[in-house]
Amino acid sequence: MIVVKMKQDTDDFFLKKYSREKIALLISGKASFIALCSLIVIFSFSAHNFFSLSNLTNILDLSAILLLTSTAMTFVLMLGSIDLSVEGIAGLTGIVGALMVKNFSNSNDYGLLSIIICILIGAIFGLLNGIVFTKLKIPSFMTTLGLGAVATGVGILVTRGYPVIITDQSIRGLALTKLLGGVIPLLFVIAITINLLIWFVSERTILGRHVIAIGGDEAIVKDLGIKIDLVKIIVFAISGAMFGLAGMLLVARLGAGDIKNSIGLLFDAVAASLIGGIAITGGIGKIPHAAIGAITLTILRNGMVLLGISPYIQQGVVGTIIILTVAVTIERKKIGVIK
Amino acid sequence: MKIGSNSMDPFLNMVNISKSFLDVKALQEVNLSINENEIVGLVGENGAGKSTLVKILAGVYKADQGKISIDGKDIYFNNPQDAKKHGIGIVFQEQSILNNMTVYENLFLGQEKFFLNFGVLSKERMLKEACEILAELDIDIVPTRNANTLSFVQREMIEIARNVWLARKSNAKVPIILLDEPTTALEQNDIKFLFQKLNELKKHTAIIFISHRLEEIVTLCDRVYVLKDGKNVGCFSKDDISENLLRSKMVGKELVGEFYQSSMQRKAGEKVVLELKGCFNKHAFYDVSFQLKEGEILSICGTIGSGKEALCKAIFGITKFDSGEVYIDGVDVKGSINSPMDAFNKGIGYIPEDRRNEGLILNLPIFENITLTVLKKLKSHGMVSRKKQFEVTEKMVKKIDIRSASIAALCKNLSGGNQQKVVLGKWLLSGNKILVMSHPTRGVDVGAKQQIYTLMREMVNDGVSLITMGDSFEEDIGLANRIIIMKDGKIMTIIDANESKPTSVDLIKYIV
Repeated sequence: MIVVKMKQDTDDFFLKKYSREKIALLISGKASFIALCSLIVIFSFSAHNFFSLSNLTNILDLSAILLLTSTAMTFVLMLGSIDLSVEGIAGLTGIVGALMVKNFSNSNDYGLLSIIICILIGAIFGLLNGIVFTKLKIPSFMTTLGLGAVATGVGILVTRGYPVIITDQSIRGLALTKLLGGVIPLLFVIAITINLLIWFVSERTILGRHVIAIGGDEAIVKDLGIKIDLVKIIVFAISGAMFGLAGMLLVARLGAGDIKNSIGLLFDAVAASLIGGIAITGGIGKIPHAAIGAITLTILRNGMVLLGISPYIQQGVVGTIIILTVAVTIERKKIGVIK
Repeated sequence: MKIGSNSMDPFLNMVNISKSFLDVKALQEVNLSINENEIVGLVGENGAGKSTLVKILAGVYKADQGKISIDGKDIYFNNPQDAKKHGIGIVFQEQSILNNMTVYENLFLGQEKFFLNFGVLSKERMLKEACEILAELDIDIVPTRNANTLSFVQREMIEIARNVWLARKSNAKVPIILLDEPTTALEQNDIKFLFQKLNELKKHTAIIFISHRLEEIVTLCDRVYVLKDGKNVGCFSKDDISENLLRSKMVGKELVGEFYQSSMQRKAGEKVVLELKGCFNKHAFYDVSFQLKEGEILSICGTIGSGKEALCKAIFGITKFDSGEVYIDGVDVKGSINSPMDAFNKGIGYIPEDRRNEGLILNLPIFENITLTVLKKLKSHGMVSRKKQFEVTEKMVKKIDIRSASIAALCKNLSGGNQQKVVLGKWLLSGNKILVMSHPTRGVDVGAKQQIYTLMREMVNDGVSLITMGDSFEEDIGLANRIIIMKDGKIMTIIDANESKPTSVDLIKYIV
């Protein structure tokens, strides 16, 4: 009898709590998506030209480069590391790229080849990041911050700080072309394709699974004979390459290579990744979440502009909302210790 | 041991294995052999060389001397991967299952190369093989489950499955599974389950089993090797093994009967230091009432889910009482203990089961850990005085015999027994009069266990009252003045062990 009574009590307890638990369960992993939807709903009702085709195109366009950098950032975060060199690498490759295509500063005309060079330069810096991080055993936080500054320094040195204005229409066309009747920007297509590619890599290749495993518990993975350093170096090279591409795409959009182009990329990339629900401690999260995070952040900025919110307080609002979103999305149960 | 005669050669043979670390001789000419379908036990105190020996066998370390042969052929390992190719796999104490991945991904972690189709992982094939190996070993776990939902014993089963599978893949004749203290964190039911599985597994593998719990060795193993100070001191077959024999071989002297220092047991005082009346927690326990007297050791027995863990945590304010009355020294403290800090201020201490994560700050030295609760008392001129910290620690280290090169040694570098002594020392210093101990000797070797028992007796003599949950019935019976038996969240009975000690059977009949 006692046992039966007790079982009933516990059942009651679970039933009562079930609703809350159920909600938590439903939300987990989808919180970033829910946040995105609610933002869309809120802005659709409050800003009258938000929910229009032209603004949709605008949002996709604005989110493209962020999508690229946040994808790379998410991949690195999954590893349990972080790559803070995005502004340095993208700034440098932007300048190098701008100097290689038709521009006002010299007579080069390498066209689309410049993009490959930018990706290579990014990859080389990424490789350096990875090697310094793994072989000198300097935390990735410090390594990438330092090498990022080096990249910025090289960029400044090359142009003495002056912007390089480009006239190359094929490059500009990357940012100006819209597909499907002028609705979907080419930039966004490039970015989302890369996002899906990295998703595939993370889910269906040995490298990708080992990234998740290392993010989960490095010590265990090491005992299983997995080459941790190699995985890390490859991941940093990939993220560096993507930052390099982002630098050139920025030039395509802005029409000039300038070390100041990339300012703000770092904050946005980390913020978008976290809004997407990745655990900063690694091992948890999915690559497409980076896309959701990037679009969410872009919509937030776009919506505030449409609402006429003063630019002086926009940044504060973004910061607050990031903290709130992360507070909702982060899956604390899975993380254990929050550092 | 017959070397050279073909038919009777053991399947795996380790001969004259020696290994030194700097000047310390960890192993000296140790022999070990194992046959197919056999479970071989390996016992010894901490530092006796058990772990070193299995790590050599698993390819983690390289032996300085000696040779290993499988099926009559000499083999050499440079790394754990080489050992795995010969079918030797180790299940570490610390476990190597990743929480953020699924069961099947964990099973094949590091071996994904077997599942590639043109560079792309075939999850379908992974799932299929996972189902097959789990079904074959009769492990009832859905392969797509997230590993963080698995119990400890399930994780061990997955690790065993991983090793068996890999041995197959490497075309090893017989998988050799090394289990390094697999039962340390398991409850009785799980241990029973694990043993049942190991006995089934024995039919197609060879198993080496390390444990601190001798009763397990006695029930499970076909043969037992005893190591002491890096040397073989005996190998006994099933018929000859007894707990007392192993214990005396391990320590090198007889400690039968006096293991729990029962002769030091004193009668509890008259004063009631802690009293619970009708305490209730909707998650875990019902109508719990008992008294704890001054200088008493009170054991709480019960299986997992009996509510004993939750009760102990509630006394220390980690979880809460939903209703009921709590008195400390006759004063009603209900409502004023809402956190461990409150409980601490009321004179209660808590020694958690997981001392590595909850009981100690591993990256801090001994003296910082030991003085953690009394820093206020060690202040001079408003700052914590390092000198006083050292003085106090030196005294305590001497008193409770913490073996370490220096009091500045980091706690993570201490053995399990010494770590637990640091935790005990910390609470001794605090002067708290009520201590709740959750598995105080878990994962501690026999010698250090005895020292901890002695220490507990001494604490009681100083007027401290202890509530303890032991690792085995024997421990509970051996130590306690009274034993509370809990089942399904209720106290079934309280057995008086002051005059005559009950037997395990007496306890079990209340539990089942």
